[in-house]
Amino acid sequence: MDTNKRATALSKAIGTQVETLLELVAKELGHRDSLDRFISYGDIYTRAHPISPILHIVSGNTPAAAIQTLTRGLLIGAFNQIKLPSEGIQEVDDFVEKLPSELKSLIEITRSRQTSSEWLQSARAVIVFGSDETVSEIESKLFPSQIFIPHNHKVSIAVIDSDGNKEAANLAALDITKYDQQGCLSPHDIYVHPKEQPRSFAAKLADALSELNTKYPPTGRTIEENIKIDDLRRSYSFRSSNDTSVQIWKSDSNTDWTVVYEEDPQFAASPLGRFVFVKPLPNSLNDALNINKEHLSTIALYPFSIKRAETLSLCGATRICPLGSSQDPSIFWHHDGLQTLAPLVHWTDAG
Amino acid sequence: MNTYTQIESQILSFIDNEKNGNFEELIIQAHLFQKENCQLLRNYCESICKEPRSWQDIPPLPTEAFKNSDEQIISFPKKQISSTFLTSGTTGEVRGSHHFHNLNLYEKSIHSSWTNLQLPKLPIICLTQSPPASPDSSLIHMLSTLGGKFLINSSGHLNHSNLKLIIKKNNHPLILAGTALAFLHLFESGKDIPTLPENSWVMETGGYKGSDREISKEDFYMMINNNLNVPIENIINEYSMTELSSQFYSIGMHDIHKGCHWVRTRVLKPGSDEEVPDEEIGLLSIYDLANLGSSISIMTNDLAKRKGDTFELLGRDKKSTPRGCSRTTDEMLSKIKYGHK
Repeated sequence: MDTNKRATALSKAIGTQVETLLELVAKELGHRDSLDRFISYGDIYTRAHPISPILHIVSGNTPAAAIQTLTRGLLIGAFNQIKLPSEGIQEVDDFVEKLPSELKSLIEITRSRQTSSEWLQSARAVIVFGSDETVSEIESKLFPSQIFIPHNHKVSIAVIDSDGNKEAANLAALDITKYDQQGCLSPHDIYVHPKEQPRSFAAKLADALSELNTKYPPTGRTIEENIKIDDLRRSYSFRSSNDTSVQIWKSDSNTDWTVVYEEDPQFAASPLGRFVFVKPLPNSLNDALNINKEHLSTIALYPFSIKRAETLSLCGATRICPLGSSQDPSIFWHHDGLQTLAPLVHWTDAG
Repeated sequence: MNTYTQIESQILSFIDNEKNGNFEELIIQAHLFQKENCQLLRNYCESICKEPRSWQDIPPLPTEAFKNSDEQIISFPKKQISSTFLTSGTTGEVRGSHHFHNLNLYEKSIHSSWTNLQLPKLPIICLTQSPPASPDSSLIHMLSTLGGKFLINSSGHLNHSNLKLIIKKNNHPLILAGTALAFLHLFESGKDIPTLPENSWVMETGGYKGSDREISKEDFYMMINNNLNVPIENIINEYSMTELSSQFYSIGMHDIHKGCHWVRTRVLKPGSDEEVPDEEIGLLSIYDLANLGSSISIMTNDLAKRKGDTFELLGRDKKSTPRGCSRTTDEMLSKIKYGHK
């Protein structure tokens, strides 16, 4: 299959335009035919070849990321081995089912730790979704010749400068509810400009989360996740009963959703599971983000503008997106600030 | 309202003999006394339940409350603090402080638990520092109250020769006590480990706090058995917290934790104050009458399986921290690390 045929098959499986996928190839590799023939490159010609096989070690809590990384591997024509969590990912199975046999033959799936450990030795490229510690440990198992693309632990925030249309709370609730806030793209903290009364915004966000929760209650949370949420809720309930600068809203008799308003602008880490902090936007957001800059992934912005994105880009985020689309990155996004296809090919020059 | 000393006297008498009082009445009285004298506690408890009608209605206080450096969880004047124990914590973490008016109830509870639960009355040798070297450790104070002898010096080194000498010299049954981590260090020290005299016991506690060690209870107890020649049915697990004044004990591999008549527990459904059904897992909350000087109800961070009125301790899951996209990776790494022994 050439690139055009692969893009056509993939576009049907993921519900996007063929042209979009071909444009991605063109932007990443210089020309949409780079993988099929020699193309002009300065005073020479060059063509790309997929680095293959690629081992994708993906997470069950972010099915979209799993499908996206597999799509990239298939788009360049590599052989893809994918390690799913032991419980599997239904969305990945559904995606593979929609592919023609030529692309299916480029995929090997396992849920077995033993098999994936063997694949780790033979893969030419390894893409891992994991914590800093575990990503480092996998890296230590690799040979220097293996391409390693880590997607380690990241956190995200949202910034609301103004809310003229009174829709920001609903959009933020979407970002928090989707995939139960799992992964790295959903905001832990929402910074609201003081003129928009952050405490009132927190109350509105609580209403919006409650409403979404009736339609989309969380499923499949572990007892450990619930306990982490419970623990932090009780700590903040204690604080709120003794400190007027803190207030908490939460679902009744379960851990479904939690909103904490806190005047202290310092970044606070959420245990995820629809647990979000609302804080006043400080003059220096940079100072409030006491996390290492390399851990900041997405800033969801409302209202979104490129001009405002320019100033926020100084905070170290690798992605600034409109509020409400945190969990739906574009196919063109630089995942964790890196190109997505270019690291997965090597080149042959001619001339 | 009764004074601290009057309530303390009633609780001491109740600890001595269950027939000398009524748990429900005593704990409600102690709770009202604590609310009266501690604004932090009052504000929190009244935000949840203003007038508890039974001990189960008293809100368990999160351990976070003990980390406040400006105001303390105490039911007596601050100037009357006589002892303070600190929680263990990793670097940079705020440590909790449990302050005491006096240690009458604390020490009474330790002695009476040991007697009531018919734990072995044998000399206790401790793989810990002594109270003067570590005055803020509640565990070490507990061991000292039980008459323990301490083998770790002030710089943190275990005195192996002293351990061997004590065992050789006495040559009668004893209890070797320490944290699980201290036992692991002993077993992995590479030094000659003396076999304990016949009919000796081991008391382990505290898990592997402050380390990245994780080892199953089965494997750990087998290590104790192999290294010290102590049968598994002679291994005691002690469970308590710095924020409490009483202890729970289990014996052997599959025992439930037992407390005495002045402590009760509830296993709560996360996100609510309802108790989970029997045999289900939830969060452990503890009601301890001996905690008169602070809060008689404490919310632990520990997982437990409800077993009627008591519990099977499951402990904290290290993987409960938010991991972003790490679930599968952790699974895979556990195979790499532990799957090819």
